[in-house]
Amino acid sequence: MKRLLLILFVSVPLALSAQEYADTALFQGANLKLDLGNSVFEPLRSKGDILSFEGSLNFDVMHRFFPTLDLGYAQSDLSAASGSFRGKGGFARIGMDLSALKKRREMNMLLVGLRVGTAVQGCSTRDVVIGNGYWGYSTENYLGRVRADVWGEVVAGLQVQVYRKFHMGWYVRYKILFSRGKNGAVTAYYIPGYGYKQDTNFSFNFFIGFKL
Amino acid sequence: MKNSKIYLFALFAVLCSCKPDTECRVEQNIGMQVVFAIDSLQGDTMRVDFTTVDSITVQGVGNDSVLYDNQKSVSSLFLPLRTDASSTAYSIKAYGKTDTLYVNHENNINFISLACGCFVYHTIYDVGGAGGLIDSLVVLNAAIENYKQDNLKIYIHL
Repeated sequence: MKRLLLILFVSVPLALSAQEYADTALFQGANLKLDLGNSVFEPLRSKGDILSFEGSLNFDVMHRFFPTLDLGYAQSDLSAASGSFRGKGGFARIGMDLSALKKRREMNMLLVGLRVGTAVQGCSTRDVVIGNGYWGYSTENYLGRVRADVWGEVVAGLQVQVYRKFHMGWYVRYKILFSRGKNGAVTAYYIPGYGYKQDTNFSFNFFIGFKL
Repeated sequence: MKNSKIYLFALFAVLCSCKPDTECRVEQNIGMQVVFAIDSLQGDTMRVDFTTVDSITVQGVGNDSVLYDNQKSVSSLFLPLRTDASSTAYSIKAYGKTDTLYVNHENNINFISLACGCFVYHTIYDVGGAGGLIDSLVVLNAAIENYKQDNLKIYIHL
């Protein structure tokens, strides 16, 4: 997987002709994107137990490279067979998209990219069951903890111009959690910007953007 | 158009499947696995046989429930340890004799997941018997976790 990403990020820019770069100004403006899909999808999927909001700012470099900063906030109130989890916090992702279409248009793009994400949240894990059926059970609470997590993402998306400076599109994100925690450590059940704590995750963003 | 609906449905199904298990799907039974050996003097030599116990009754000291109630042909015992104390005792009856098995242990709380809760793993640091049944004890594996392995061997003297 690492080799594939390296090839993607090295070979695509190199494949562009020198002529293409020569007649394009370096800085082509910036885009502000507001996520609509995840903000609606997460509460629907979780029946209101999760709220997640995010937006992003990217800079258009030669219509080809898009250094990107995503910022967001999420909160969760979840339960499972052996306890409940409540957390809220912010997250940020930084990375870059590449326009994968050979023919560059103003706002219509097929984008591929990488992100590194981090989230910091205050969280509590309650009523965690301890014990066995013979000697009996007790519960444990882990309250008021601050938890930071880090992950990487491979993203792919599409955007199209809808009206003058407005565009819309979607991203699919494949996420790999780096901060998995030591065995036995009390980790977060849900991570803002990442999703449920699993080794890997998928997510989907639908956004509306504005060219600044 | 029909294909695009199928693709949309498949995408939605994939995204919906990202929710983790809310039920615990890993081995949750954690206890001390005990095997037996019987030593008996035959002439001038001591003979040791790994064996099954014909009939055995085991009960935790301080607990009203019986773990093994006059159970026949028992080759091993699975004994859950206390998670709220660092010492667990069992009353063992076999071959018309009664003994008390003491296990001193350390408890280590391990958070597994919200679905599984916390597992308490144990480390045995001392064992002993007080009665006429147990001849000696050997700790085979001091670590007790959520996988099967023999932890303690009880030598019974007939």
